[in-house]
Amino acid sequence: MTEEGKPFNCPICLDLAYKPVVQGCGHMFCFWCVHRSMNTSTVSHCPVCQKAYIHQPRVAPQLHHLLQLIYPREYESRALEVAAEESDQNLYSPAIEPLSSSSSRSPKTTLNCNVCKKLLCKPVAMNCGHLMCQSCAVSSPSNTCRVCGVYHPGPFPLVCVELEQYMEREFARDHKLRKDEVGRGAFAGWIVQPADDPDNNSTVHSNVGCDGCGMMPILGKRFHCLDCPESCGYDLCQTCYNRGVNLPGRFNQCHTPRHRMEERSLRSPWIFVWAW
Amino acid sequence: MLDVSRVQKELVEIKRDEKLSGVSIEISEGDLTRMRGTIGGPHGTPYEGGVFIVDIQLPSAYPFEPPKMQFVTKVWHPNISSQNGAICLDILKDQWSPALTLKTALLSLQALLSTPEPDDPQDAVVAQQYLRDYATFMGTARYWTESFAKRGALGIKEKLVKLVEMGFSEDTARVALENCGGDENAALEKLCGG
Ligand SMILES: [Zn+2]
Ligand SMILES: [Zn+2]
Ligand SMILES: [Zn+2]
Ligand SMILES: [Zn+2]
Ligand SMILES: [Zn+2]
Ligand SMILES: [Zn+2]
Repeated sequence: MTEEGKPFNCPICLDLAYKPVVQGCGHMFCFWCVHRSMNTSTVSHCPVCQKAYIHQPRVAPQLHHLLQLIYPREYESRALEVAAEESDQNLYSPAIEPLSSSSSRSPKTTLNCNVCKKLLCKPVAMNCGHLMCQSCAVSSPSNTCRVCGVYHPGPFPLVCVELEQYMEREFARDHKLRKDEVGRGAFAGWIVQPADDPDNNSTVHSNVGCDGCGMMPILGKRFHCLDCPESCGYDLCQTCYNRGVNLPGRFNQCHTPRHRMEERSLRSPWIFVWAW
Repeated sequence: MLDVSRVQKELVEIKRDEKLSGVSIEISEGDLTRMRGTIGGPHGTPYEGGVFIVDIQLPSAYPFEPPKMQFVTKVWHPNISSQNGAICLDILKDQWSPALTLKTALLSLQALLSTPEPDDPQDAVVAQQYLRDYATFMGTARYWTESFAKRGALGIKEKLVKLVEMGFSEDTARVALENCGGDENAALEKLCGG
């Protein structure tokens, strides 16, 4: 097997994916690699399949833990490498809660679906970082994570093929059982539900990302935190502001619900046109 | 800041597989931002048998910005400037993606040599010739390959001198060589036969 084709290598840095992020198209990258490859003023495209997107998903903690378990030494050295870069640039990737009791954890037990609690089958990642079977992702209303209720932008998420193939290789029997159980049919998915702001496509806040849903640039209204001290600031889009999202920032900012948010306007004639 | 670790991984991968892929890279004096790529001319094309050198410069934002590539070896091709080697290829411009590599870029250049796109030309003169007079285009492209992209082989000048020494006029000899894509034996046959 070539170095490039090694399982869980990031197609951008060509190294073991660190703090893995799975796009709606199912392709996996490092948190920083996605961030760096995103266009800050217009639509971005998946480096592998060219699918359009404007949201950087959150890190999938289960994948982070899986890679920690199956490549302990390599993952640790990636962690040290990235930590050094981060302190150089004074910009930090999100902290991820460690596994509760690592002694009882195995690669297989880290890969349970967050909805049905069984071994993942045709896994997809939601924008919030939760993993679930594709069949478990069908939600009502659509575009919502069934675990945390957070808005998931864009079309129905596609299977993370890399993870699916890993499970096929490593847990062949259980994987097959789950596949038979779930059935081979395709899912209706969902009809894309637009975000809250009806004027979503009118204003572009270049170089500013939403710390809730990861939208970059922010389209429509932008809300800025007056109390977050970090130099990167804390911003929300209209949708996340309306839904009272109070997640920690994408760069680990210590934002709390008590902080004061203020709308920041932009007098700019930019018109942003795009479709999923 | 250039992602040095990624560039090194790429170089290892290119080295590992250079016999099979037909493309290779040399770094110039330990400077990772300046390289020379080589591409073998694809079979069944007027570039066959040639070795084409490409100057490569990595911007500091590589791989988030495309590498800058330009042919050093002169080449007669609709999408490559016959003057300065500038290349018209979408993946070196707006279609670049950080999941592409120097190797895939060089392989794309090799593919470009096989399948010119005269409708989106870099060199209008070459493109016109390709569309209007394909036979002459093929002859000139072969001639340029013989003249500029072959190492060790007798240079076109020497071949010309040889034919002139045999008593043919320089002009007729040059035309014969051009029509035979620089193949001196074929040119000689033509000169003798015609
Ligand atoms: Zn990466
Ligand atoms: Zn993709
Ligand atoms: Zn499930
Ligand atoms: Zn969720
Ligand atoms: Zn948002
Ligand atoms: Zn705050």
